[in-house]
Amino acid sequence: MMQRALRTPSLSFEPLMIQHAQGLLGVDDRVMSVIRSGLLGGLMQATKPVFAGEQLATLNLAALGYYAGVINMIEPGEPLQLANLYSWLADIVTAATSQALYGTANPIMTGSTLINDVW
Amino acid sequence: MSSCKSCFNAVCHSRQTSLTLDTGARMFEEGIQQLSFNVLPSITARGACKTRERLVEALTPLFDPATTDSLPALSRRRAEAIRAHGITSPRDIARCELALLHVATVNTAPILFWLVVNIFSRPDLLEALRSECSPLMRQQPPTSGQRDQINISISSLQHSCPLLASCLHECLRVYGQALHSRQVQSDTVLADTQGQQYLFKKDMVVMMPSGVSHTTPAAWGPNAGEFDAARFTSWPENATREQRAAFMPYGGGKHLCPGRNFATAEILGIVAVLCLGTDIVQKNRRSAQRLVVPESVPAALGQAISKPKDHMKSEGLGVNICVRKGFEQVKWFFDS
Repeated sequence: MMQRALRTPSLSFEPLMIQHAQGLLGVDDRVMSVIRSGLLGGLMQATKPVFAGEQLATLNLAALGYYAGVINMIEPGEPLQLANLYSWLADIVTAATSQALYGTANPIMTGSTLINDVW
Repeated sequence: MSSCKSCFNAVCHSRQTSLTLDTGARMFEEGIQQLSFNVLPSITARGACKTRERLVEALTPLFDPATTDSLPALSRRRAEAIRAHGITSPRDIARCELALLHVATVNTAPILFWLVVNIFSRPDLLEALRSECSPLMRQQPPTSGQRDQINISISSLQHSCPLLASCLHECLRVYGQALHSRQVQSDTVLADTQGQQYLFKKDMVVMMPSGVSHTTPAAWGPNAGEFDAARFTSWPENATREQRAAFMPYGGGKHLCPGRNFATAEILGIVAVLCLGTDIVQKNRRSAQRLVVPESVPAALGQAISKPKDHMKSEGLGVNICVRKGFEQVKWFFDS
C-alpha cells in the first residue's frame, strides 16, 4: 500500500516541503508567497530534463572528474591519512557536486571552509 | 586540475585542523531540524543560521544576471525558472538554490561511506569487485613522461557490474531509512494487497517508514538485518512482489528523487576506482587493520540514510588510503 500511496496524486509532498522551506532557507515572506504560488513545480520542470540523456552525462563527468582528480593526487608510498573517513567523503561529495552544479570557478571549490559550512 | 589540487589540499588541511573547525563544519546539516522548526532560529539554531548565511553570501555572485549564463545547465535553468516566477535578487535565488546543494549531498555522502566500509571490510568481496571491474579499464596510449592513463566508462559501470550495483542497492536497503511523507489533498481511499480499504482524510499527513519495509524478514528473508552483497545481483528480474513493494530507496510517484541517476553514477564511479586502484585500511596506533563497519544510528528526520554512530568524534573512522600495488603509475579518468 505504501507504493500506491507514493504514486497517488492526491497525496503530495509539496505542502510539506513548503512548510519547512522558510525555516530551512531563511527566505522572507515575499519569496515564500512565490514558493506557495507554484515555484516548486516550475523548478521541477527545469530540473528533471537535466538529469537525463546528454545533460546527465555532462553532470556525471563533471562530478567524476573531480573524484578522479582526488584519487590521482594520492602518491604511491605516501598513504592518504584520514582522521575521519566519513568527513572526508562528505567533503569530496560536496566539492564534486558543487563542481557539477556551479562549474569549476564555484566558491565552494575555492573556499574550503565553505565545504565545512555545508556539513 | 590545479583547482582540484588546491581544493584537495585544502580539504585535507581542513580535516586536520582543530575541533573548532569540525564543530563549525557540521552546524548547517546538524542544525537543519532546528532551522526547519523556524522558532527563533537565530537563537535556537544560531550556528546553523550563521553557516547558512555564509553559504548564501558565497553563492550570491553566481546568480548575478551578468554571470548566470556561464553556469552549468542545471543551475542556469533553475535560476531562470526562479526569475520567471518573480524572484530576481541574486541573493534570494542563492538562498533558494541552497536547497539543491543540500539535497544533492545529504544522502549521497553517507551511502558512499557505507558502501566503502562494507566493501573494504570484506577482502573476498573486494577481490570479486576488482575482478568484475577490471575488464572496464581501458588503457590509453602512453605519453612520454606522463603516468599511464586508464579510462573508465560511466555507462559501462552501470550496465556491466552487477555485483557492484548490488552492493549499492544493498546499502540503500540496509541504511536507507527515509520517512516518506505526504499530505492528503483530498479524501482518498487506498486498498492494500488483501483488498482492505482505508480512507485517508484531507489534510492528514501520511508517513511511510522505508526503514521498516527495507528490513522486514517477510520480504527479505531471515538475513534481512545483514548486509548481503549479492542480494540484488538479479534485481529486478528475480525480485518477489513483496520485495518490489518493500524497496523504495528513492521514494516514488511524482516525487521520485530526480537526482537518483546522478547519485548512482557518482557513487559507482568513485567506488570502482577506489576498489581498482587503492587499498583502504583502518588506522590504529600499532598497525594497519582491515576496515571495521561501524555501528549506525537512525537517519535524522528529513534525511534518508543512517549515519555512523558518533561520526563527529572520529572514533574508529581513521583510515589510510594507499595506492594499490601494481597501480603506482596509473592516472584515472572517466568518460561517458
